Order: sequence, then C-alpha cells, then structure tokens
Amino acid sequence: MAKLTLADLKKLRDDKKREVEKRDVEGKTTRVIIGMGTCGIAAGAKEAFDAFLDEIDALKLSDVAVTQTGCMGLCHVEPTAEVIVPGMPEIIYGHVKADIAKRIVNEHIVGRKLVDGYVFDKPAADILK
Amino acid sequence: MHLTLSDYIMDLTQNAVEAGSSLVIVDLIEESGGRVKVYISDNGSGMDEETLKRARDPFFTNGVKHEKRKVGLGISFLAQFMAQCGGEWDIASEKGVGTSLFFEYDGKNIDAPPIGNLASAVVSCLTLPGEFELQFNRTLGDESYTVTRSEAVEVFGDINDAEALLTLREYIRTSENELKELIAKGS
Repeated sequence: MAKLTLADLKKLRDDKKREVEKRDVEGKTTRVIIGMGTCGIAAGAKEAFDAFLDEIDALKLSDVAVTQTGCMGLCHVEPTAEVIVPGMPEIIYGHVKADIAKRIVNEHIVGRKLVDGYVFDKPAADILK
Repeated sequence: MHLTLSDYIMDLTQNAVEAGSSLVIVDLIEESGGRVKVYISDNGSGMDEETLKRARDPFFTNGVKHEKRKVGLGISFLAQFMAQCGGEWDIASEKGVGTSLFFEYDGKNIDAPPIGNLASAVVSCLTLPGEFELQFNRTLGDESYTVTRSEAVEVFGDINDAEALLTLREYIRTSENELKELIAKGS
C-alpha cells in the first residue's frame, strides 16, 4: 500500500502544532496516569483514555502528559486515573467513565478543584503533612 | 471478558511490556477470508515450564509478577474468548529469553468480538511506562502498515504529551482507513 512513513508522521505533527500559550503550571507538566491492567481495560480504560485526549484537545491544553500503567490495585473502582497537577495533591479517581474524564479535565486540571464522589485514594497524605 | 479484540491486544501487550521486555512485537493479521491472527512476542523475563503451565489457570498467581497486585486474568480471558468463538491459541515461553503468544479465530464467527478501537489501543500501549521498543504490524488482506515506538519517540520526543498522542492516534486511524480503502478498491 501507499505506506505512511516517518515523514508523513512528522508532517502531521507540524500541521497540528498549535501556537498555544503555555499555561502557568509552575514549569511542570500535568500528568494523567490511567490504569490499564486487565481490570481497567475490561471496565473501559480505553474509553477514559480517549475522553481525556479529546477533552484536552477540545480545550487546547498544552503541557499535559497522559500515560498508562498496569493495575493500580483498585480493581473494584476501575477505570482508574491518577491525576497529578503541580501544586495540588496527587489524586486517584475511580469509576472514570468518559463523562467523568471530561469533568476531571475541566474541574480538576483547569479549575483546580477535585471532582467530588470519585476520589478513591488520598489526599490524606498531603493534607496531613 | 473484554468487549473487543483491541482490548485483548492491549491487555496481552501490557503483560509483555510488564515482563521487563526491551522489545515487544505485535502482529495483527486479518486474512481476506476473515481469519484473524494475532502474535505477541517479547524478550522479557519469560516463564519456566511449571509457571507457564499454571499461567492458564485463572486461580494461579506467583504473587510477585505484578507490582501492586497478586492476581491476573489476562490469559484466562483469552482462553475464554477462544473457547467462545472456536479459536485456537498457544503460548510458549523460556525463562530469561521471552514469551510468544499466538491466537487465531474466524472473524466472521457470530460470537467473535469486533476489532474495536484499534488506534486508541495501540497508542495506549505506546504510553506504557518503561524504555522499550514496541512494533505493531497490522495486515489486512494483502495490505499492511507498521507503527514503532522508536519512530514515534524520534518524531515527538516525549510521546506521553497529549498533543503527540492525539497526532499518533490520528496517524493510526488514517492508516487503518487507508488499508480499508485499498482493500475496498481491490475487491
């Protein structure tokens, strides 16, 4: 086939490159880590992953990294996503369906407020510090 | 059980990466007759004969493979999936050398899952933690394309950046569509 090449990928990257003002996140990157164990996948980790990406794209956010990890040991509340925003406690959210992923981007990453009802770990360690 | 083939590929690829592999090769082949074949091989820690035998048992765990948990159902899910749609699967492994897993089934079987969201599954796998090469080879009929993690790293530097992931996802979606168009033209 007319195989896509590395050059095509580079072109696609350049075409999509946005001139976005970097948000002030204290020079650090916001990270979203999605649980991608068997449990997470079965519960819809891929849908959460897509929802995070789509909402980050819709809001034209830069400096957000999305990564995957294996099972976080919270199989009962999958899909799970750990959200690390500089200056905020590290939070693990559970039951992260697509709509909740969108709320996390809007309310937590942009609005800097936790999404109530879906926090399944922490922020005790940070608050009690 | 997973909903789509893409989910099984994600799950089993994650196993391969988690085994400490520096190279993981995934082949997804859809033959023109509808037969679907998947090969996932890695050069990770591998398993000895006894562990390999027991890996098929959903109630088995060695308690150490996974960092934060003591259970795993990925292989059991695959076995159930194959039983459901009359497929075949096998796994071979050698301690210290790596593991190869293979399965195939008739994609037209009424109980076969759909391929699902392949682009997001592959991009998800590229963002798994660690330094490793992942090669994803996709074949549909006589046409094919390949995505490698090293190429993505070469282009984007940090492939975990959301912008890079969006571009990669679009790249794979485009590749998939091109494959399908080429096959449609040829038929």
